Amino acid sequence: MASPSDVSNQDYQELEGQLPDLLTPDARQRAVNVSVETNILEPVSHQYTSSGGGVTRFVLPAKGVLNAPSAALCFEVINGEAAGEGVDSNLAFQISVGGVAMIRRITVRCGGQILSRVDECALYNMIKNQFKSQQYRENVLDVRHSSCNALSTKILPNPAGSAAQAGFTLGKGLVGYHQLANPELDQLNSYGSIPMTAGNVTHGKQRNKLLRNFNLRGTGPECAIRLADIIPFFVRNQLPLLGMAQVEIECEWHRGPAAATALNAINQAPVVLDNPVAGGAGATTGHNITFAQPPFLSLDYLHYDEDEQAKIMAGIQNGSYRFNFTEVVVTKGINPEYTGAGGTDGPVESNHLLGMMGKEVKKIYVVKNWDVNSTQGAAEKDNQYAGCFTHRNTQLWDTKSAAIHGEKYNWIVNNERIYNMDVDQGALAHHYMNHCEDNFQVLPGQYDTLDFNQDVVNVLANTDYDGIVDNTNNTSCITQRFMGGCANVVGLNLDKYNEMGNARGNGTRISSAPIEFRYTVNKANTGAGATERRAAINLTFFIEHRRSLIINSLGVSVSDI
Amino acid sequence: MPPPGMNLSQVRKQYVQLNPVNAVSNGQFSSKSGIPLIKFDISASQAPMFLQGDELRINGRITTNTSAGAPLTNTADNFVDNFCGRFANCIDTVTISSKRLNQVIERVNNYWRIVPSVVSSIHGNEDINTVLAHEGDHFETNFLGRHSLVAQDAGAKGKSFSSKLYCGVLNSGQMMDLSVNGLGGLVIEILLKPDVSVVFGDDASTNNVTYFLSNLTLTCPLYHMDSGAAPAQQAFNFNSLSTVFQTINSSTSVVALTPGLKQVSSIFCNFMNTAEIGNQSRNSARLGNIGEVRALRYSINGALYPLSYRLLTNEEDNNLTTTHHTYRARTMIDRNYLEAVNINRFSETGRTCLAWNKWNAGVVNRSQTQNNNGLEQGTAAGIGILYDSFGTGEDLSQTVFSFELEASGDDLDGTAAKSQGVYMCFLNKNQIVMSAQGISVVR
Repeated sequence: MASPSDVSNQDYQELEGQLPDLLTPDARQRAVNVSVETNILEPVSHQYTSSGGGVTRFVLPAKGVLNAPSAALCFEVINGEAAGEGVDSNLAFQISVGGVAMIRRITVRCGGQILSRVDECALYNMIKNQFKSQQYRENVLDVRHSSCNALSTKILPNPAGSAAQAGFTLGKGLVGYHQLANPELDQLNSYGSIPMTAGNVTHGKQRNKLLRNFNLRGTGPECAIRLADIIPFFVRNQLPLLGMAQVEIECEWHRGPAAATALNAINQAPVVLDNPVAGGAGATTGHNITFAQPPFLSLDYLHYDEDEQAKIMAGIQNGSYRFNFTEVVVTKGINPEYTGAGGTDGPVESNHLLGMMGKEVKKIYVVKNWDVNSTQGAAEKDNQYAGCFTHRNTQLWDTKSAAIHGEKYNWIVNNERIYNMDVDQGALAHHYMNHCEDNFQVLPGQYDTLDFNQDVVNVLANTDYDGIVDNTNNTSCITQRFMGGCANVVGLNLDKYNEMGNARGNGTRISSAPIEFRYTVNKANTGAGATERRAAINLTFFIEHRRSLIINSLGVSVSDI
Repeated sequence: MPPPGMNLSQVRKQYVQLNPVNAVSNGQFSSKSGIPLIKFDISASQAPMFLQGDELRINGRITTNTSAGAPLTNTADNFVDNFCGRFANCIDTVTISSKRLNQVIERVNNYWRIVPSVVSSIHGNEDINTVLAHEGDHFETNFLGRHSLVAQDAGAKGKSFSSKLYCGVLNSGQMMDLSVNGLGGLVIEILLKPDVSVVFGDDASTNNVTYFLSNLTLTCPLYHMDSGAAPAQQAFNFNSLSTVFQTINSSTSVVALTPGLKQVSSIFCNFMNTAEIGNQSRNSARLGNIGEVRALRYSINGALYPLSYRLLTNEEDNNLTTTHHTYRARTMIDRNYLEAVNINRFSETGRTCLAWNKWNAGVVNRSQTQNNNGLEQGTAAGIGILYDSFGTGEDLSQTVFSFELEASGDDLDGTAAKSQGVYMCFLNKNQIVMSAQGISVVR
């Protein structure tokens, strides 16, 4: 990653705007008087239908300083759009990101100018959540988002052939003796935990995470999504609203299923079934959703003494404030369908030019999902590889990233190849993903599957009490079916030092030569439907780059310099 | 973090991937079917070039077979220690040398005994099941690790790993200057263990299970800087891991030695029955149960230090069984052990596997040879003492360090031999001094 010769930092030099310490809380080393006003901000407009999606707009009043890290978007979603609908209480949010799955795009504007916009918000959040610890996901995010990230170690308490609790070591000869389970996909008796009265595995979610029906709206799970969790701009900055033009936040919502659409015709939705293997679920209808009431923002305004406010205003009038922040751009690509003859398999390569000339790029994430809407994709969308639903996954939908057979990749940035050998080993790819933040904390079997080797993914629960691998029957655990191979995100860290955050020069300035991603997978035309893997793969690139918000007497502007 | 005084615009980051310099034709490394020494060579540069040691990874694939070359069965008794992980279980010694004057910077012996203590003391189950499972194939329990241990692809190769090296010099938090004015490049040598002490279990022993490593690479980010972009590095501090093996044979045992180290931050020890060392039926990386401890004291030159009192337990009073079971009640011993491994005060301990009710290490009532075959609930026992989390450490270069472990009656280990192997690890502050005349390591 050499400095590009045609675009260098020197081309973009300008005087840094100095932020007052009130707007950089980490730097504040003096006592100030401040009063905190916590407000509920209702939207100025809101409309939503399950079949069409919707938009909600908020206008933030120009007062005080917005404590952006604590701003939260709150809403309740219900099953059914009219009285009497949704009475089966059979819906919950997608399991990895919960209510964030409702958000398709969120935009922050000031004076009509876009400050920050995050597309594919739910997918981006899926990636970022995996950098949080398992404890944080389970104990904090699951509560805020109504997601289901809990983890338990399943240890068979009553091995096959035993009528009674026969001792734990007797399960040693069973594949499923010890496995990892998501307790909101699989409930069963285990070591030190015998909640079931009979030897059955059930698959329901917690009652408090299930969407209420239309008649019971207002009593269901409410999501409180920190804007900082979905918009990088809000992570650290404190916005002096008192000196800015009108700030607007626009939230575009994903649509839900139409009321008459059967589950087996749905390929993407923000909601999932409570029990994915319930009898007859595939033909069920009535999965339409709406908001119980308009969403609202919970905001903290900081009101400083008048002399402190005057300092902020004087700073704006006399110069400029610069907020360095991370913006994320989304672009897409396709790894094409395999066209080889029947009975063959082979590599399918694709090159993806991502551009970004002149930008200071920090990280790039690549999400991979099979195109289940194409003819071939539709034909193989319910395939399982070693039991894993990597095409159409009714508990994750497309808010996942599928592991693919024979995957290898490399990057070319500023005309230099990043890795001298293509990355073709799962553990190494995972390590490069770790580089982007502290650790990419997904479960074993979710990332490196050794080309869907059954032994590897067996670490995720997939047996009944007999301990024998079973990827079909509803009486067995289903954690592996819905989570195996579904968190395989490719990552590249172009920051020099993660600790330096958004400091200028910490990222990599891109030359006129576009960033290139070279990607190869192995696809197969087996001629047998259940093992086909010919379809195209949709690649979604999230490119994080540094931008600066500059506030001066002329207004607000955003720049890449 | 970047070296102080550095200008970001003058830094260039490079991801390097290196193959071993001593690769053989079949690309395999092992004690049986390849060569047992893996050697990586990171060359020097003229301009300043810094290595971020904690991001250095050894990558590759581990394949385990029976002596006849057949894959292992996923229901048989074949295991690797869950805390040690698949990769660290294969390693006997790691040596890191500067290419400048061929100076050894750090040599970590008994690597496979250190890693289980470190992993179980500073990580909880959630970390192990998420992060470490992808790195060195560490798992919460032996049975969870068995799934990937037996996995092989169509080419009869095992699952990949990408593991850090648990060496002090690579995890100091400082970047190392590898230029000709600094360390002058690095040589990393990894000596592998014999088959008999890697994959264990009754079936592993019956089938003489072997292993080999392949597709090995070393990856790390390097930071190239323009000359003058950063001040020349003149000194570099790190904690080295020095190990000593001892045995204890009676219920009141004293281990005494002069470590010959000047700045010891902490000392920790773990135990296992000596009769199990080299026995493929038994877990050679097991953090054994020690026994029914009555008291433990640490001394320097015969005087109680740094604790001026003995650590007493009431395990004997709580023992509910008659045959070699320990009712575990050694909170203060655990506390000091965690401080020693973390090199930090107990209040700073955030995560650990030393729970009371978890399969891997939290069983209260356990036998003396608990889980030596891999089938039972595990243990993560150890002892340790922290001398100094802030300053220059304790000078043990001329003095005698000792600890006395008093166990009840005949319950040192529950077997007739009563002999326990003690793996002692000294964490010692070191300084590398670099000058135009060369480099030296001050220990």
